Amino acid sequence: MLKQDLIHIEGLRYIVEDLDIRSAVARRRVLEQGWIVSSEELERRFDHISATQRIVDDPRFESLKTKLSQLKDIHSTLNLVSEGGVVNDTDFFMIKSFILLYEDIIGWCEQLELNIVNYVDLSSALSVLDPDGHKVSAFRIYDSYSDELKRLRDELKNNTERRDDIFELISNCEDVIRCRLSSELQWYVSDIISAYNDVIYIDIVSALAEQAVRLGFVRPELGDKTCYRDLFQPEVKKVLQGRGVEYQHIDIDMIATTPILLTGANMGGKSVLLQSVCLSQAMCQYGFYVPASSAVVELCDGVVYISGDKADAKGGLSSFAAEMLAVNRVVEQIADGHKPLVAIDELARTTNPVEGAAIVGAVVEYFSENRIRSLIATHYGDVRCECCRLRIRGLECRNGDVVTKDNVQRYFNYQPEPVTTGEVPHEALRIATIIGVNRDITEKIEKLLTI
Amino acid sequence: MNLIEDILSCSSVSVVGLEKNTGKTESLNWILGQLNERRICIGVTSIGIDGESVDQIYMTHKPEIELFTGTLFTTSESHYLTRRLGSEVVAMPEIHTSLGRLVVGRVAESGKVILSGPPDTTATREVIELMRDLGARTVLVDGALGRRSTASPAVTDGMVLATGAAVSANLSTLVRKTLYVCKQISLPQWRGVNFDENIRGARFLNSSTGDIMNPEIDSAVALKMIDREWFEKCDTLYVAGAVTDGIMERFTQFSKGRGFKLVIPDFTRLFVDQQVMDRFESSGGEIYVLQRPRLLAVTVNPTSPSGYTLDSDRVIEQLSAKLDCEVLNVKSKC
Repeated sequence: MLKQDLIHIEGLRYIVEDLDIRSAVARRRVLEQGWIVSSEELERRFDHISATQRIVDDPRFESLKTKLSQLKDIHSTLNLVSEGGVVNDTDFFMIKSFILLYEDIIGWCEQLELNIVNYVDLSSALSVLDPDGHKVSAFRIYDSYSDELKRLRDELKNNTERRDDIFELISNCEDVIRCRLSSELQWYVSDIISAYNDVIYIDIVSALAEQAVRLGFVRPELGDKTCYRDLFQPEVKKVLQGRGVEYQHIDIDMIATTPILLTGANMGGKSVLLQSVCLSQAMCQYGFYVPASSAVVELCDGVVYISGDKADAKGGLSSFAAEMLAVNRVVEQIADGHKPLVAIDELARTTNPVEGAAIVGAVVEYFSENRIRSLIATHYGDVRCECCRLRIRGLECRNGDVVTKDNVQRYFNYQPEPVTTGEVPHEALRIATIIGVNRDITEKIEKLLTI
Repeated sequence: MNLIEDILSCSSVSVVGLEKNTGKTESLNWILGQLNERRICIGVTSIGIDGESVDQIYMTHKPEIELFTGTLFTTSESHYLTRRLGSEVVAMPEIHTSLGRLVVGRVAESGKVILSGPPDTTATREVIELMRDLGARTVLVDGALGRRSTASPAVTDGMVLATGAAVSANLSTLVRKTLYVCKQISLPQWRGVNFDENIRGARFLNSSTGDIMNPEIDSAVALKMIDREWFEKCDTLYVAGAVTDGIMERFTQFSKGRGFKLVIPDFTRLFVDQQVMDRFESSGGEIYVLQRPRLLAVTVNPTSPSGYTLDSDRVIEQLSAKLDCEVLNVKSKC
C-alpha cells in the first residue's frame, strides 16, 4: 500500500504531499492505493491523466477543483443505506448534498470536455430526498412526504397547549417516513456509491495531471526493460534549486537479466541515483507520471531499497547484521516468486573489504540468476561477478578551477557511464581535502597512500 | 431598547455568565424573544453545552434555549437529533466535537434545543462566519467564563455579561466582583507591534527598537521563573497562555516604576485576583488585549439557586453608577 511505501521509498512522501488533492477522502484514498501490476489498469490511468493535462491551464479547471474541495466523507452513511439501515436527517442531508455536488461536478467536466468517468443518473435518488424539486442543499422531513405530517405541523403552529403531545406525534410520523426513505434510497445506493467513487477519482486524477505539468513528469511507456532519459529526484532537485545549485538530470538503462553494479566517488550521487530509480518505479506503479523527459518502465512486484544507514538496527543488531537480514528478507520474497526492483546502497560496507566484495558479488550473482532487476552501489573494486558496471563520472575540473566545499557540486558530473573493469575511482582524499578536513589528517592519509 | 440595537450592530455577540445560575440562559432567551419580534434572522450557538433542562449540580430547573422560526442554530449532531423543534439541516461544517459533527439548522417550527457548539476559538469563528453567510444578521454565542474551554467568548464583537446572587449573597461583594470582570472585559486593545495569535509561549518586545525576542518559555512554571534581565531589556511582554497571580506578582516585582506593558490574547486569559492586578497597575503596569469585545450590557438575576433573593434595584443602581453600558434585571423583563 502506498501509505506503507512512504516510509522506505525516499522522495515518495514529498510527491504525495505535493499533490493538490482537494478533498480529505480522496487524499485518504490515494494513501490506501495498492501497487498496480496490471498494465491495462495503468494505461487507463495514464490516459485519464493525459486527458486532464489538457485542461489544467483552463481557468474553469479551478472552478472544478473548488467543487471537488466540497466533497465530504459519506462512505459509512452509504454503507448503512446499502445494508438496509435507517438513516437520520443529518445523513439524508449529506447524501442529498453529495448528489447536488455530483451534478455540479459533472457539469464542469462537460464544459471542460473531460470524459474520464461515465455519468451516473442520480435524478431518481435526488427525488427521494427532494420531493418538491427545489434542488437546495438542505434537508428535513418535508410536509410533502405525508399529508398527516403536514396536518400535525399545522396543528402545532396553532395549538400552544398540547405542544408536547403534538410534537410526540410529529416525531413518530417522521420516524416512519425516515424508514420509508431509507428503504427507497437503498434502490439507488449502488449508483450513488459509483458516483461517489467517480468524484474521488476525478479529484485524484486532476491532482496527478496538475502535478505532472507543474513538475515536468512524463507518461511512462510500459515495456520489457527500464530506460530513463533525464531522470531526476524531485525533492532533491527542489532543495538544490533553493540553494542556487543546478540539478543534473541523468540517463540510465536497466534490464532484468543483468544487475547493475554502480561505483563512483564519494558525493558522486550514487544514493540519489538509486533513490530516483526506486521512486520512479513506485510512482509509475501507483499510477503517477514519472520524473523524466522520457521513460520506458518494466513492471515489477514492488520496490526494495536497502541503505546501510537506514537498516533497522534496533534490537541490539549491528548495522551489518541488520543489513544482511534485510537482504535475506528480499531473498525470501524472491524464493516465494516475488520479483521486486531491488536497490542496495553500499552493500556490506560495514565489514572487511575482502568479504564485503565477496558478499556483493554473491548477491549480484543471485539477482542475475533470478532475473531480478537490481542496482547495487559499492566502493569495492574487486567484485567478481557478471553484471553491468556503471561508474559515475565524478569530479571534472579544468586547470585553473578553484574547487571548494561550497562550490564542489558544480564540478561533479553525475552521469553514470559503462565501464568494463571493476576498478573504482580513488578520490576520497581529494574530496576530503576539498570539504576542509583538517590537514593533519589529510597529510597522514597521503603519506600512507604513498607507502 | 438600546441593547437590542447594540446587538444588531454587531456581527456576533456572546452572552456569558459570571458563574453558573446567573440567568445567562434566561438573558439569552429574552434577547432571542426581542429579536424574533423584529423578524430578523439570527444565528445561535454555544461554546460548550447549554440548554440542559436540569442543573447537574443543584438539580434545579434550568431553562432550555427556545428558538423561533427562521433562526439559524449550530449544535452537535447528537443534540440536533434530540431537538424538540422542527428544523432543516442547512450545513454540516467539517468540525467535530466529542458529541459528534456540528450541524447548522434553520428552525421551521419553534421549540427547544440543547446547544453544544464549537470546541475551540478557531471553530467558533468559522461557525459565526458560516451562519452569517447563510443569512444571519447577528450570531449569538452562549458562553461562560467559569467553564473550562478552549473556545474563548472574547472572539465575538460584543458581549452581554450575566451576573446575579449566585455570585454572592452579599450585595457589595456581588457588585465588586461584577465590576472587576467588567474592567477585565474592557481592557484596552493593543495597537502596537503585531503579535500573531498563533504564537505559543511568550514574546518580549523592545518598543524603541521594535525587536521581538523569544525567551523560549513553554510552560506557566517557566514563565513564573523568568529572569529579571528580560524586564530590563524590554518594555512589553506578550503571553499567549494563562496569567495567574504568581506570574503577575513576578511581573510587578521586576517592572516596578518602568511602565511595563503586558499583552494577552483576550481577557479570559487572566486568572488574577483584583488585588494582584491593582498592585501591578499601581506599579505602573498596563494590560492590553488583542481581542476586545464591546461590553453591551450586564444582566442581573437577583435570585440564587438556594432561593436567596437580593434587592435587584440596589444592585442595578450600584452597577449602573460605575458602568457605561445598560444594566437590567432579566427576570423582570421575562
